[in-house]
Amino acid sequence: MDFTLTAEQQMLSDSVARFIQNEYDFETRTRLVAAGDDDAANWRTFAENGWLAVSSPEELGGFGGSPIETAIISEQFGRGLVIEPWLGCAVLATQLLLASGDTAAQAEWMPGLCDGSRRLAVAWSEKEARGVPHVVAVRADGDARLTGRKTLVLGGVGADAYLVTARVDGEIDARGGIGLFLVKAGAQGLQVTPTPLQDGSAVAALTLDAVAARRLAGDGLAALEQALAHAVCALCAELVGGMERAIEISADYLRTRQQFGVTIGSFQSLQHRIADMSAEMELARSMLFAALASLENDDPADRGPVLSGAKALIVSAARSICGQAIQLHGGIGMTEECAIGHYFKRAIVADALFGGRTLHDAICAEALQAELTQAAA
Amino acid sequence: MDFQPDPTLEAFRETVRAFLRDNLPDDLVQQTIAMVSPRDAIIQWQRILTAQGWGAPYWAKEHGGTGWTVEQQLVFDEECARVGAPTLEGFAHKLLGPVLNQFATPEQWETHVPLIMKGERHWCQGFSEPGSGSDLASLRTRAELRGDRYVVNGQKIWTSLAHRADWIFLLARTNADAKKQAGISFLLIDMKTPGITVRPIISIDGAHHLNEVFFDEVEVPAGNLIGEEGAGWGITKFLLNNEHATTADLPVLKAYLARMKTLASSLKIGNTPLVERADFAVQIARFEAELRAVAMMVQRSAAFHGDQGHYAHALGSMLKLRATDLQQRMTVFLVEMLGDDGALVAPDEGKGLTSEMFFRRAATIYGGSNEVQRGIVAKLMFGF
Repeated sequence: MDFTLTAEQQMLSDSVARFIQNEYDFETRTRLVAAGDDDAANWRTFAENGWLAVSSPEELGGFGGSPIETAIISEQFGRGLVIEPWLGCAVLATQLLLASGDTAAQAEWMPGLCDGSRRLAVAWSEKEARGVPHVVAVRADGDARLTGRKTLVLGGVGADAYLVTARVDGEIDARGGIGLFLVKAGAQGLQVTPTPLQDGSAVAALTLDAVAARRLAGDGLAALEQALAHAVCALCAELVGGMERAIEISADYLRTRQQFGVTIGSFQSLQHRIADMSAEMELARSMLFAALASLENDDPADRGPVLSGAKALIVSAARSICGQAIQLHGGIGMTEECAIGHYFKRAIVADALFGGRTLHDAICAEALQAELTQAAA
Repeated sequence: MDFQPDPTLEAFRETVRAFLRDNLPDDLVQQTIAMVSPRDAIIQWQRILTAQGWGAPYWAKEHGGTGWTVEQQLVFDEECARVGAPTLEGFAHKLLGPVLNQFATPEQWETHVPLIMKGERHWCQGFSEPGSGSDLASLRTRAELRGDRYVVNGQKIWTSLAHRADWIFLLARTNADAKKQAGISFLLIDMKTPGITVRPIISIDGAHHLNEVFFDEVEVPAGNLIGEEGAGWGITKFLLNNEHATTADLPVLKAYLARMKTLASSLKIGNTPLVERADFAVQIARFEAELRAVAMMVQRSAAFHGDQGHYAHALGSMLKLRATDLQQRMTVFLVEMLGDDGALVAPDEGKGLTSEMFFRRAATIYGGSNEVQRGIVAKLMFGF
């Protein structure tokens, strides 16, 4: 293990940080949110800088990086509360396409994903799924025509096509019988409804009525779980960046806000609170590293509880820290025009993405029960 | 940045495991979770380690140590704790040892270190006083130079293991006129010197770890001064800087988790083992996850070893905050798991766990209280 960024990683981190600083300040972001859409120019910037291709294999047009490079970008995007569909398209969809093992689909789509000319989004979630990937009610008939409803499709507005999980066999929560399908935007019977999230980003709900699709090769569920592992790590990295920035903004506020004739940062109660927030953030960062280590080293079967534990702990830390950041700001922290509340909003949304705290706690608990039952037998 | 396992470190782990398998006598293995092993066990174990060439696992080769990396030291500690090996004499190895290696004269080093390597000279730390806890630099114990000796008068308190110690390393004021930090010196004193009285303090775990130590006209050879007169505060900061990774007590945290898992299988409500209940399973699983994060935080902090920068220092304080809080919550939950027995002085199950839980209240007080650590973090990270 080595915790120091390599020269290349440092350059990557710096270049994303520069973008946030120079081209994505909070006012700019606020204008983007108000416009109700992400900015195509920003996506081009991501592509031109190679960020969209950073963790894709070289033979498919990528730079051959690891989830660490994805995490480095995600962390900076988290600091800037970037609303572009980095997580949904550049991480989740790209990783799902790679995990599918469908070489034809990869050859067709990867170059466009890497150069930013095309976007894929993943429609896996459903209202009843609540973060469980194998809860799938959308059905595929024998001609690969899909019917049903998908929710919370990250990057789903303006995507060129969708990777959709659908059931070819079995009950709604059976692990078997799940296929992965490619559906083109504009396909007959497909309705894409933009649904704004609390944090200002837009996702989509898909209604499918006998929509023609192409089934991708491979085990759809295994591929989705692999891609979700990458997405969870990226989201955790984003939250660590968000927490770090929320603490910095709060510290700046404590240095400047005056009450009782002094800066409020001179009060020990507030100093201790921000110290505790920092300690919790560093614990969350440590957990992110543990998750990345597991993603890199462990078998998919073993890393489930590690990633679930990471998601549960890091999202909880983000909700706690960003909530306290509002408290440190007092009344101004409650206003829409103050940045700090938006970090809290992102933390709240993050819990709903890829399964909430309670679900991930339960996954860890079930793994523990299995471990101890096995040990007793 | 990468998270690949280091093959040389894993090979080292195997070496340590094999050594422990072959060399740790059964009668030295301790089954209970405890802070410090009996004196005899420490001496025997130290001899075995020294014979292996591992007598000083935390020191550089030039000082007679193993020269292990911080990562190797963590592996060594972890593997020793996993099989219940005795502890080393921690004051000597982790606190005083590095001070001697850095600041002692060759004569002083020769006087003490060979005995540390034999396990025969045990130490205690004379820092806190009744009026000087968090404000350590306000200490009032005096050491007055009279001819070739210092004469020490004053009182120390919370002195862990003073009743077992052969020697004490002591902070005393040698110059009453200097600014408060500048008047402090670092002295080594034989506990058998006339004028030293040790009085036990029984702590809320019902045990005797803590003491008051009184000094009444105690004569100390001037040659027992470490560094210059007045250099004691700087030496202390050096010493405490080495302390953070230790206060995380990662091996102990891992032992708590292992104990939780054992109890979760053995204790039942009706016919149902606790682990089969979602309420208990979720709590234990949360502790397991949090411990994984703390373990990584220990690695991160260890990787900064020797770095005197603000961030490295603050990370050590933040680690102390998080790890000691976890120690307290885990031990409280362990007692909760005991059910009715958790209330009993002499329970059927989980003997020692309630003591451990009570003792852990000290973790957020010693080594710089957690309030002091928060102040350090606020100052180093944000300039408050």
